[in-house]
Amino acid sequence: MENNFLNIPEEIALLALGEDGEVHPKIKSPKFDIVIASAILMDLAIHHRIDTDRVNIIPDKLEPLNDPILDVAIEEIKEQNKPLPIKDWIADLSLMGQFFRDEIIKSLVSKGVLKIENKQVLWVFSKRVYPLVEDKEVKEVRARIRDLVFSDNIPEPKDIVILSIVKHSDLLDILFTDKELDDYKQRINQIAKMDMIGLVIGEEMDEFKLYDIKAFFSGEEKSAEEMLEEHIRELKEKFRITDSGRLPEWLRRGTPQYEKTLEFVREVGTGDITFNHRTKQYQVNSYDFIGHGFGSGN
Amino acid sequence: MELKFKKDGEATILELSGRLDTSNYESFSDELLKKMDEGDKHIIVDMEDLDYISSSGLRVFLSALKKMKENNGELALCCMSDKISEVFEISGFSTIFKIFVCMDDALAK
Repeated sequence: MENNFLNIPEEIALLALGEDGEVHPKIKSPKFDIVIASAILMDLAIHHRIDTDRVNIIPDKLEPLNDPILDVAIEEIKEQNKPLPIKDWIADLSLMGQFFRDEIIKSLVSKGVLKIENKQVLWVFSKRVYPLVEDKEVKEVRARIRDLVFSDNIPEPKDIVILSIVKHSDLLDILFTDKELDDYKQRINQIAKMDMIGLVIGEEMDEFKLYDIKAFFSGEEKSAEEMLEEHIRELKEKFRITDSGRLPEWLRRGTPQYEKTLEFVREVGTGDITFNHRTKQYQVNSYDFIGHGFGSGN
Repeated sequence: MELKFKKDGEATILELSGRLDTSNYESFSDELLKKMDEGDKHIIVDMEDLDYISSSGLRVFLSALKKMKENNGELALCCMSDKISEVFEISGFSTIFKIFVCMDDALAK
């Protein structure tokens, strides 16, 4: 049975979540926003909302999928509606990373896979199992990917992209022991190459500059405008954005939305924030899977 | 994209030309699956005049290969240009498909 119960960003998030609710440390990093952005793009490609070649994302049928995570990305792509480099789209969607992290958890809770208890995200069934879908078992992602690597079966497109993301994001230790990585290196590389977006992620992750956000903002007091401009400079450098016109409106100086962004920065005292285009709400980036906007006493 | 079919003994040869991308992958997929459903067990895709293939096109080939294997059939590709060959190489598809330099080799095998 083709597994469409969960989207790819949801399955990637589940890979990072242990049965005890422990979140893999590599997830708690701005770099993981690149992983989420890539997962979204790969899922859109599988659903024929976009096409890709070695360099570009090419818009295809941009009809909504009735998926709150993927549909937001579709709307973003619709606004541009022209072929653009894969790395540009990874950057654009990564800027919405905190929003997507929160939406992923909300969705997994509503689908009965996860629950929130004492501010911790846990599997509903206390082990890595999905609820029955139309009375059928759906193999959970970790087991599926492992079985694929240990076999010589021709992979499903969805499993190709998941393994590609995991490999190019340096997260293989989530799925395999050191010995397994050694024994199955060739098979893993064979499958992971089969997705064009996956190949670009590897390059993006290598070039992504990680900053210690807190250290960056330590020291003398800064005005809201200074904090925001610093954050924008950092983002531009991280994602190699040279044209300020490419920044979203909420980060583009001189727009009404930018003024609202500034107001929020003044309110929260940090420039490390994100904006949800759909709900029109701002929140502070937490780089975790329960942002300040969800599940933490709100 | 243009698609032509012909038979050579037991083999069905598909001559694919132009671009295989988001605009036509569905029609290519339909034609390929139709041939499989008609019972063709040995299909060779001649890609000599194929100029461009996107990920949508690659996925059609992947699905077709899966189906052929399930039906105990064979799918082979041949006569790729350097550009298309490079795409198959970079994506690793060259490790799962039978790819031949020319039609004679594909037919012989």
